[in-house]
Amino acid sequence: MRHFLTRCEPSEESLRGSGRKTKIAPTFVLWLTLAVAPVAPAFAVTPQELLAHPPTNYFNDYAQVVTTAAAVALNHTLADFDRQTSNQIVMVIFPEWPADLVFDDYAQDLYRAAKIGRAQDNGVLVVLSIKESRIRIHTGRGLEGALPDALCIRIIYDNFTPEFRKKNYEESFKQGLAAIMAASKGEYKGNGLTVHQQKAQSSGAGTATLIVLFFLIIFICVVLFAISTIFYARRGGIRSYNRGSTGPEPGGGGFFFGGPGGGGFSDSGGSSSGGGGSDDSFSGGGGDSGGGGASGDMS
Amino acid sequence: MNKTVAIGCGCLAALAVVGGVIAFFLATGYNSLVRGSASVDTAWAQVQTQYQRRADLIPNLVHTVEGAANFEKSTLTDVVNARANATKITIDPSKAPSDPQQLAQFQKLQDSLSSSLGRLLAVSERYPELKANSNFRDLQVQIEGTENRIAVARQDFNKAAQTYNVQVRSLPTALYAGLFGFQAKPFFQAAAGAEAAPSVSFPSFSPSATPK
Repeated sequence: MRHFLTRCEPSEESLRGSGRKTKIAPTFVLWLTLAVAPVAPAFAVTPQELLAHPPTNYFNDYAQVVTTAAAVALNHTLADFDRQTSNQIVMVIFPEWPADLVFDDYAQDLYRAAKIGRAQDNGVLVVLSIKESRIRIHTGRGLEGALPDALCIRIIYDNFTPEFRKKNYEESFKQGLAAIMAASKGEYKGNGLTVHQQKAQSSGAGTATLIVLFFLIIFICVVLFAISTIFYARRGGIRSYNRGSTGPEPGGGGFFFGGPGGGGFSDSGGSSSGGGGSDDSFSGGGGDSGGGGASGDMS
Repeated sequence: MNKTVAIGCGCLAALAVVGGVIAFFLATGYNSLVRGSASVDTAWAQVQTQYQRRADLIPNLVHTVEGAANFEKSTLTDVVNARANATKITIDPSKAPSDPQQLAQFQKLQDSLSSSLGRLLAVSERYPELKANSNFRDLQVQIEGTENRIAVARQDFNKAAQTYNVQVRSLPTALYAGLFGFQAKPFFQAAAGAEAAPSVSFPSFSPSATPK
């Protein structure tokens, strides 16, 4: 909560990239932050907390070294990369590193907690600590061929480090992520949806089928009941009494069936669009890593 | 119907049901043992793959380091000897080892290769011409990466072996596991004095020298 409040105040630190803004009404800034809320850190600020609550964006800047607009743009780039190639690239940036946590081991733990990548294990995790200038590119099993360890260290040197040393963080991340995307581009094909969008769609379709199934079962029960009463009546001999009562049942059941069926299908259409047509949030696709990648010191 | 015949039939039916239930549990227990054993074997194959990958990288590294002027011969020969010892002991990669002595010996030799490699890379920090050599840098990164992969593979193997061991030793399956030839499997022990997480004890790779 402390971090959320500092973002609201128009202090120098929070408006580093856009120094032109001088006096902005706090409520307006609050609304603005909420509007672009996807990249505001919710509660995970330390590495250990992130293991318990895996990241919900592709680009996660917990050190707040880039502007919100830049973070949203980078997040969108990575989400689109997931849509086009099905590779999931997740980046987490911490302000500093706790002394009791091993950097490389943490990357492996976070990779598995977030399940980056899809069934082909095609994921990349980039962990960065600003204070120690330490970075690790951690690859999933499916991308070890496209991003071998030697290429990862080269990307760290040639693409991340130059601008990072000059403290142009946004440019450094753009170049580094572009290199990672270029290397992993041709490996797999995407299907136009992020994992998060896919999950939302299938859960919508799932509830629709459940509703249809439910009413189908009720309809079958009603029909069976009707048949059994006819059968019983035949044996018992009370014919005229039941002939009238069996009439409306199938008709009522059919009417029942037609209504919710239409409502159930329209439900799936609504839930797939998520956050207003551009749902860029991250959801793990079940990928695994074997510990590959490279770490580097960018100081 | 005759009463005794009815009682007899009833008893037979009850016995058949009980027998069926026992057979069902036996079958599912046996299947889960088979699955557990197979996953331990798969994890072992992964461990062997990564150790083999490291063994394959070392000759190249030794060759690159030899070229550096005045490099300490003793550290190099240490690595060469450690590698020879580690590759001498062969355990079938397709089946997890069942002899704890054999696995302990294997682990000891591989760990000594790890430490002599660590020493070699630490010593090479003092040779600027090596640090500037891009070939050496790539090899160093690959060996660090392989050490990481070995650590992960060993952790996964230990997890699979311990799950399987719990199954073999738990009560319903423990009664017939021995009959079908399922034994508890040994796993990698933590080295004395090591932390819980097996971290790579390599010098942190710093590009402070201008890379080529």
